[in-house]
Amino acid sequence: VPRNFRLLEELEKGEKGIGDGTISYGLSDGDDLLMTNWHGTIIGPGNTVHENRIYSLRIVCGPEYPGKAPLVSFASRVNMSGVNQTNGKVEKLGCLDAWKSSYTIENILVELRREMGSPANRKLAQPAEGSMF
Amino acid sequence: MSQTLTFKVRAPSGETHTVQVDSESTFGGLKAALSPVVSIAATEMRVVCGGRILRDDDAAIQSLGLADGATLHVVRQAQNSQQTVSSPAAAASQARSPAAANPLFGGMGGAGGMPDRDQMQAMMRNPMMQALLNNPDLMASIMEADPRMQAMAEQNPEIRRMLRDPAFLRQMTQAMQNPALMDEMQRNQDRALSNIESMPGGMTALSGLYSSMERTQRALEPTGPTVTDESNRLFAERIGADLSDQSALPNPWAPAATTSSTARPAAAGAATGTVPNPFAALSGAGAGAGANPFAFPQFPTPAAQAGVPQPGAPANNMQSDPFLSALLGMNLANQTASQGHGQTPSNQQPNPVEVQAQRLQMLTQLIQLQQAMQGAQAGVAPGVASQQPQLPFFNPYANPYAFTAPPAATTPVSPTPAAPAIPPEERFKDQLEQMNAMGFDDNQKNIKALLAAGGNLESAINYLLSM
Repeated sequence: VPRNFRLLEELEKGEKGIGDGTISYGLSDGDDLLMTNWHGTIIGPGNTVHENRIYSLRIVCGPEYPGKAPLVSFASRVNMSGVNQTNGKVEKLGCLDAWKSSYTIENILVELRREMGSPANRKLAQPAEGSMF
Repeated sequence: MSQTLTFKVRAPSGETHTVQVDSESTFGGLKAALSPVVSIAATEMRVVCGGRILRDDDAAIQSLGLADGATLHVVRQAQNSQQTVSSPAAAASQARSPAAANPLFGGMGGAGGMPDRDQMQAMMRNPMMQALLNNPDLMASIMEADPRMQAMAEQNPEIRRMLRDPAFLRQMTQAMQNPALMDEMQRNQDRALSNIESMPGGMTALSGLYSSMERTQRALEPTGPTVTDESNRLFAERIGADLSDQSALPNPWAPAATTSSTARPAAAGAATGTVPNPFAALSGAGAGAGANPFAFPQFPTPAAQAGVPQPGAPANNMQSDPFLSALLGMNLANQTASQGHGQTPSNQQPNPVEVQAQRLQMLTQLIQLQQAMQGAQAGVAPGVASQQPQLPFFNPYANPYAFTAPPAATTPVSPTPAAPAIPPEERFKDQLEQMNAMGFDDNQKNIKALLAAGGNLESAINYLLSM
């Protein structure tokens, strides 16, 4: 599937609202024909230290997407395993490490949210809300 | 030219709504339009669209680039980021505060006036309490919301002023958190009180204060005897007991208890025919009766019950309740033929086995409920608090033999037409789904918590978190 087709599809899905409403993503720059830069948000899972917090992310879909995984990094500060604490880059995530071309931005965000709720991450002390990397 | 833009809105509850705004309005106007739909105050609302958090209230909607028909996600602002602005926080918890105030003081009142040290500590550990204590304004508003406090404040405007004084509140909260400080304060108070006689007019002031407080307390207590026919009937319904059953209660010390003599020291006493000392149970042997005989009456655990099919069980139950044993007197050497509930095949009860099974099931649920109540006493649980009117005073004399175990302990607890035939997984399907979405994956624990909380999701979650 050509890259642009795929990205257009994902754009539509993002605008319509996916899943249970706890993740959202969209183009950073509406005029970008190459659709490289995306913004995403994750609403922290309930009953964890992330509850009611909204985390922003930046996703960069390179020219080889979806063949190659996008680059994902947190814009909002978060304390989580797999996230570089200096620059917010997501360095370790299941779907990114074992990327398949059928994976989508939605998959990435959903998996990140699930990671937040994992026993390892759900009680970690978090930086103040609103602080950015 | 202005058009109406339609947006789909995703509320935190998961529901989707539609909202229409004029394309020339600002983001603030959009939030105002969203507020009633998702029931979140505009000041607390966070809106996300297309992966971006929208912040600027004054921005024109067009400049935000929101396309017609786009989906907006709406979330409630996290509580801790609004500590300085206490009024939205108070507004948000206003809904909770009447519920919070009453179980708070209700829980304290239920414990008998001032709760003791351990109960206080347990209460303090409750995270809601922590949040409460950190916000003195909220604390003051909750205390004022309590009708008992209000009555007291009416009588005595000093109290109201005291409640408002931030220094006093800070002292109170610190005292509540630090037991040593609490002790100090108590000591100071006592010392002042003992010196009151030396002050002219002091005694009269004190007695006036006392009588007005007492009057208020009395006015708020339930009038009339708390054990009425109505409460009896409700309770019997709850546990599935049959009030119309007029047959005599079984004799717990009947000699048919020979088979259970190895099961319990108490039963052994009965079997050998000696007079078991009902108060011996209090000093030692009472399994799980607890050191405090005047505590909330404890039931024998269902496991223990199921294991002892004989009247050894009711004997133990009764021995753990001094009132009951006193009531039944020392008629212990009764050698008459046993009329054990379900013991003899010729029984006037229709279907005794099933009724027993049903009672066992109800009892299990009651015990879990009770444990949850005790565990979350400071609690948040309005669900549990609402149980209280039904059982105003736990009546240990209401058919104690309802708790006798079925004669064949191996009889599986089968749902009868009277008992709820729906398994808990189905009954709580919605709550379980929500709990799973929140990250509580262990359905077994979830179901237990839901049973303990009577199906109330919030209290079940608090139960899980406090485990």
